[in-house]
Amino acid sequence: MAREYDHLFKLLIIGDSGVGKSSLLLRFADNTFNGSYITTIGVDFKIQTVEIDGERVKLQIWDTAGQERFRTITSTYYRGTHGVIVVYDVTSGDTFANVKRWLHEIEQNCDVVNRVLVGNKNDAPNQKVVLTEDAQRFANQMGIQLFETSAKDNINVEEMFMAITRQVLRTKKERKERQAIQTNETVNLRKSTKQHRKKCC
Amino acid sequence: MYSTKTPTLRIDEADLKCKNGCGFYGNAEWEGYCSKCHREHLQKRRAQAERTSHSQVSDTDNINRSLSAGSHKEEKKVQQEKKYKLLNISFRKPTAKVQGYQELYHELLKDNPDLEKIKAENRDLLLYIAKTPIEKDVRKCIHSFVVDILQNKDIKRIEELSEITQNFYHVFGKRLENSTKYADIPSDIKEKLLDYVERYAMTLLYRILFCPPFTSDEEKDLAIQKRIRQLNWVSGKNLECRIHETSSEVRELVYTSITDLLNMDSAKAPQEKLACVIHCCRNIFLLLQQSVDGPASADEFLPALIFIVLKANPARLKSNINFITRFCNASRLMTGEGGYYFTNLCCAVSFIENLTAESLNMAEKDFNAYMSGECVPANTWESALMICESLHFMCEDITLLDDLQAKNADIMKQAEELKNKMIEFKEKIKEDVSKVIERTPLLISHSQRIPTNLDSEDFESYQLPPPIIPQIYPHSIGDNVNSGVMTDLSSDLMRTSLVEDSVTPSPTFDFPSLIGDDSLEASKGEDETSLISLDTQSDVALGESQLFKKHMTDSLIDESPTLEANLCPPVLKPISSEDYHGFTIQGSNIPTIPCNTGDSSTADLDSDNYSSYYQNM
Repeated sequence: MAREYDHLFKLLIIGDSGVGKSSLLLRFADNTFNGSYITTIGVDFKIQTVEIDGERVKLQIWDTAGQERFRTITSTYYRGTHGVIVVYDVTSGDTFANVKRWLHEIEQNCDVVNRVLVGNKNDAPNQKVVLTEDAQRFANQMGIQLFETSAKDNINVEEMFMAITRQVLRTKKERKERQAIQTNETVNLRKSTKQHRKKCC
Repeated sequence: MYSTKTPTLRIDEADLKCKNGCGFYGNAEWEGYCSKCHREHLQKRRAQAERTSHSQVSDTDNINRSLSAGSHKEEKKVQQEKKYKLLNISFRKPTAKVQGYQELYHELLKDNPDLEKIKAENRDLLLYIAKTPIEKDVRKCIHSFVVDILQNKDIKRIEELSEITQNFYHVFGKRLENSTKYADIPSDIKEKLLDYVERYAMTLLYRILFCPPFTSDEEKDLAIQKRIRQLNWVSGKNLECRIHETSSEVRELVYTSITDLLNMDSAKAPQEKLACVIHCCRNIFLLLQQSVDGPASADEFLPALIFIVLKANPARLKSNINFITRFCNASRLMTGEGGYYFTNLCCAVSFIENLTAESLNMAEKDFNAYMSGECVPANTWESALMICESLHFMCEDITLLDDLQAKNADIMKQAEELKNKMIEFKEKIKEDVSKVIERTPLLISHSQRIPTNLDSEDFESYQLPPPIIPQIYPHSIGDNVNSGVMTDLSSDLMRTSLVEDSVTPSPTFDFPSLIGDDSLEASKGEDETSLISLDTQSDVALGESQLFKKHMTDSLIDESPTLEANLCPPVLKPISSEDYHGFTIQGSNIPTIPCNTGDSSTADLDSDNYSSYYQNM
C-alpha cells in the first residue's frame, strides 16, 4: 500500500503566551517569520513531512493557547500526543519560571511522552535574561534536551524539531520491539483465537 | 409519611439509596441502582431478553421469513429505483433475531432523505464498488454492525455502544488493509469507503444514538445553554480576544462562523458535524487575520472561539460534542485539522463551564453581579452590535452615496456630451442655413415670376363685374364729403391690410412692386378724385366687389334716414351716425375677406412654387 508517509506523529507546542510558539511553528513549517503573506489558515495547525533515516515522518503540530486562564482546560490537547515542545522566552525570566508548571502539566496529562525544552528569541544577546548555563542545568535535572532557538533568525529551529521527531520515532520503535516480544510470548494464544474466529464465520 | 406530606423538590436520603435496598447509594446513571446492583440488573435483563428472543425466534421464524421476503420485495423496488442499495440483503439473513429490531431497522431505512443524500454524494464510489466483489462484504459489515447496535441499544450503556462502534471502525479498517478481498482496491478508495461506511451507518443510527433518552445528555444541553445565556454579557474585551467588531468584514465573518457552528446540530454524520466545526474555525482564523494583522496563533484563536461559542449558543451543544466523541472515528478525532478544531471546541466548552471571575480577570463582586443580571457591563456585545448596526447602516449609506455620486457624474458627463452635440448640431444647422441663404438669391430670381402670377390674377379679374361707379347726390354735400373722406380712409386701411395679408402667406410675393403699383394707383386716385380710390379697392377686392356694392347701396339707403335725421331732433342723430360708423367698420372688414379669398390662389401657387423650389434644392 502506497502511503506518502511511514509514521504520523502528533506534536504539541506549549508555553506561556508570547514566547513565540507560533513563530517557531511558522518557521519550521513554512520557513517564514511573520508570515504576512500566508493566505491559508492560521499557524496553529501545521503538517510537515520530514525524512529521518530514510523514513518519512508526517508531523502534525498543534499550537496551544498559553494564557494562564486556559491552563486548566488545555488537557484535552494532550490526547494522543507523541511529543511535547515546551517553549520559554530567553528574554523573560517569568516564562522560564513557568516551565516547571508546564512540565507538571505534561506529567498530569500524559503517561509517557517525549519532551524537549526550547528557549526561543535567542537572537539579542544584550536582552537575554535566562542564561544558557541555568537552563542547561535545569534541563539536565529534568532529563530533557535543551535547545536555544531563534525563529526570527532561523537558528536551531529545524534541529530542534528533528530532535523531537527522532526521539518520538525511537520511542515508537522501542515500544514496537517490546510489543513484538510480548506477541512472541503470546503467539500461540493469538493464533488459536484467529483460527477459532475463522471457524465461527 | 413525611415525604408524602411535603412534595417539594427536596431529595430524601432514602431517594439517593440504591433501588434494590442494599444500603449503598444509588446513581441516576445506573437507573437508581448502586454499581453492583446495576450490573446484576443489567445481566438479568440481558438474559431475559435473550430468552425471549430465543423463544420468539422459533415461533416467529416462519413469519419472519415471509415478512422478510415481503420486505425484500419492497426493498427490491427501492433498489430498482435507486439502482443501488447497500443493505438489501439484510432481511434474508437470520441474524436479526427479534422482530422489533427488524421493524426498527426498516423504519430507519425508510423515508430517510439523508441516506439518499449520502448515496447521491458518493455515487462514484458506490458505482466503483458495485463493479467489485467487495460490495457484498461491505454490506454485510454494515448490516451486522447496525443490527448489533440495534440489539444492544436498550441493554448497554452509551459508552459500551460507543465502544462497539469504535471497534467496528477499527475492525473494518483492519479488514480493508489486510483482507485479501480488498487487496486490489486503491488506498484512496479504501479511505473513501471507510468514510462512507462511517457516514452511512451513523446517519442510519442517528435517531438512536444521538442524545439517547437513557443518557443525561439533554440535561447537560440545557445546563450549558442556561450557562451561556447567563454569560451573555461577556464581551470580546473580557476574553481578551482581538476581534475588531467595528469592521464590517470582521462582523460578517463573525456571523458566518456563528452560523457554521449552529449548522452543527442539523448535520447528521459525525464527520459532517466536524466539517461544520472546521468551517467555523477557519472563518475565525480569517477574521483574526483581519483583526490582528498577520497570522493568528492559538493564543488568539481560543479566546475568539470561546467568544463565538458564547454568542452562538448552539442548540444541543453537549449532545453534539458527545455524539462526535463517542461515534466519530477516534483516529479522526486524534489527528487532522478536524481533530484539532474539535479539541479546541471542547476546550472552549469546558472553559465556559468552569468560567470564574478570575478567568475573566475581573473582581468576584462584579462577576457575580453580572451573572445574576443585577447589572450589565457597558461594553456588551449587544451595545457593540448596536453601534455596529448604525455603522453598518452608515457603511451602506456611504456606498449608496458613492453609487449616486458615480451616477451623478455619469449623468453630468452625458449632459455635457449632449450639450456638445447640441452645439455641434447648431453649428451644423447654421452652416446649412448659411448655405441655404447663399442659395436664396436664386430663390428671389424665381420669385420674379410673380408678376405673371399677378397677371393671371388680373386675367381672372377681368371676368369680374365692373366696379361700381359712384353716383353723386346733389343733396348734403357736407355729408358726401365726409363719406368720401371715410372711403378714402377705408381704402387706405384696406391697402395696408392687403399689404399685410399678402406679405404673411407668401414670402416670395413681390410686394415692393405691388406697393409701388398701389401707391401709384393711390396717387392717381388722389390726383383725380378721392372717390376714385374705390377703383383700386375694387381692383383688389376681386369677387367681393358686388358685396361691397351692396354695402354701398346699404349705406346709400342709410343715407336717406340720415337725411331725415337731419330734420329730426338732435337726440336721434348719434344713432344714425353710429349706423354710419358701422358701415365704416364693415367697410374696413370687408376687404380683408376678398383679399384672403383672392389671395388664396396666388398663395397656393406660391407655395407650390416654394415646394418645387425646395424639391429643386
